[in-house]
Amino acid sequence: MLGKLLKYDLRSMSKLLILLHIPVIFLAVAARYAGVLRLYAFAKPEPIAILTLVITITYLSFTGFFTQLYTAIYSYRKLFSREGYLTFTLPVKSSTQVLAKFLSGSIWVMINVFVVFAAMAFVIYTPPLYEDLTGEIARIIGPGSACAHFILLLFLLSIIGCFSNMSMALGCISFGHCFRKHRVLTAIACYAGLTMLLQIIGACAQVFTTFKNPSFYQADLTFGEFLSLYTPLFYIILVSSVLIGIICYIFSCYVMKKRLNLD
Amino acid sequence: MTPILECRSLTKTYGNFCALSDVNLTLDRGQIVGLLGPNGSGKTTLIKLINGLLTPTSGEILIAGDAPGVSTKQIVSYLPDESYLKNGMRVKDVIRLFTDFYQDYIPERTYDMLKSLDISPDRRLAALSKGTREKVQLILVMSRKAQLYVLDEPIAGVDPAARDYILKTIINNYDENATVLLSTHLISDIEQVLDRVLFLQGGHLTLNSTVDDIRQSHGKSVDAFFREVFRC
Repeated sequence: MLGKLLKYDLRSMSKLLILLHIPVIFLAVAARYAGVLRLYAFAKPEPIAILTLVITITYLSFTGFFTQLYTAIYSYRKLFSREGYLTFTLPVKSSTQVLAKFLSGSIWVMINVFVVFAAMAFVIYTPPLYEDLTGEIARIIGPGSACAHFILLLFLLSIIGCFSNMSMALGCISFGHCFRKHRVLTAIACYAGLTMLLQIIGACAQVFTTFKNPSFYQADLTFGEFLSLYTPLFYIILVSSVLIGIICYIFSCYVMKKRLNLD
Repeated sequence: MTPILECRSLTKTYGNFCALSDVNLTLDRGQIVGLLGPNGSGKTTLIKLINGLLTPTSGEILIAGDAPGVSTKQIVSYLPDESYLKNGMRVKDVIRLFTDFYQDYIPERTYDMLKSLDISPDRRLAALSKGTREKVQLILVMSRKAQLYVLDEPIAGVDPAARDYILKTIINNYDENATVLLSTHLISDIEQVLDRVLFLQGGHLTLNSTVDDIRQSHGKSVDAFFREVFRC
């Protein structure tokens, strides 16, 4: 049943989200040729090039925000609006419904991350830049370097972030459902609260890391050393995201099973 | 044989408001049951509890001996009192969805009934009138070979001709061992098809009787009796 649910959810979500991502192709091409390459060609700030890059970056950010918002709204509508009458009368376990929404939403957020990364790589990785930085990049992200480890960690954080964000969204929607009134508002407040909690954890970890390593204050700190010092901080954020994601997922399953009240 | 529906001390409250209070009820198979009561009497609450869309505050509800869950959803066919299908869907998309998820769904039945009503399966739900959308939903629900059909206000909001069609659809499509539980205000329209009626008032089950018993003991139709009991 999970496969069938996933098929319907992904198909339903894709209609709008594919449309949202089509302009990324055109903007990436424009940003590469009318943006980055034009800047190299003129060797000075060029209004059209800068405008193209600004529009592309803004649109890429917008796709990320919109994809997350849309997957959360889609899940809310499928689970708790009048469409929930169909969702919860299908002969499927409520936990399977949660899993389907979690996976379909996460998959789309992940697709967005890949599309954005691919678009950015296509825009930035132009031959002049490649020639200028080949040696430098090889040195920085070469095997065994701190930067390579750091980039891998960032990549991992992005992937896990896709899943934990979706789980947080489901958890907050479910939390809002536990109230009789202002359910959507409560869900938004809950999401803001959880995001703030993650930021506080990150900030505390940053303060702790900084105080624990006096070498932070050294003027001759290399980029690699700097990243090595910051790596534990990212592990803390990673573990916190995973933990909050798991708690939110379990809470969502509990609400669907024990506290469901479709008015 | 296990009763198709059993409620034991079933209570549902919303904050301080008691929508259903200590309802005890047993329904056997093979009958059409009218769930009758004024607005706010708890009809929709009971129907949602049967379908697992609400969680009881206390007591229990059993469908064919099981609490609402996957096994009961396989044998209960539910028609809500409002449109619950996504407007952007085409009729054939909904048919595919029902085929994928309900083992007892018979798509040929749906196509036959749609043809008799001259509704194209290619049409989007948003393009249908409210009455036609309600008919499509009823057709979908009645195309299942369920053991319990739960229909919430199936004839509200449609014209008298459509009401006749809906009642005909219900009678023609339900299995004789299945039970149909339908709620409505329009008693005179459905009275001729009912075997049993349940009266709900202020969340309490005040009457559980066969239609014949009401006619014999009170000497009046269910509609007249309802008007007498629930006179404002």
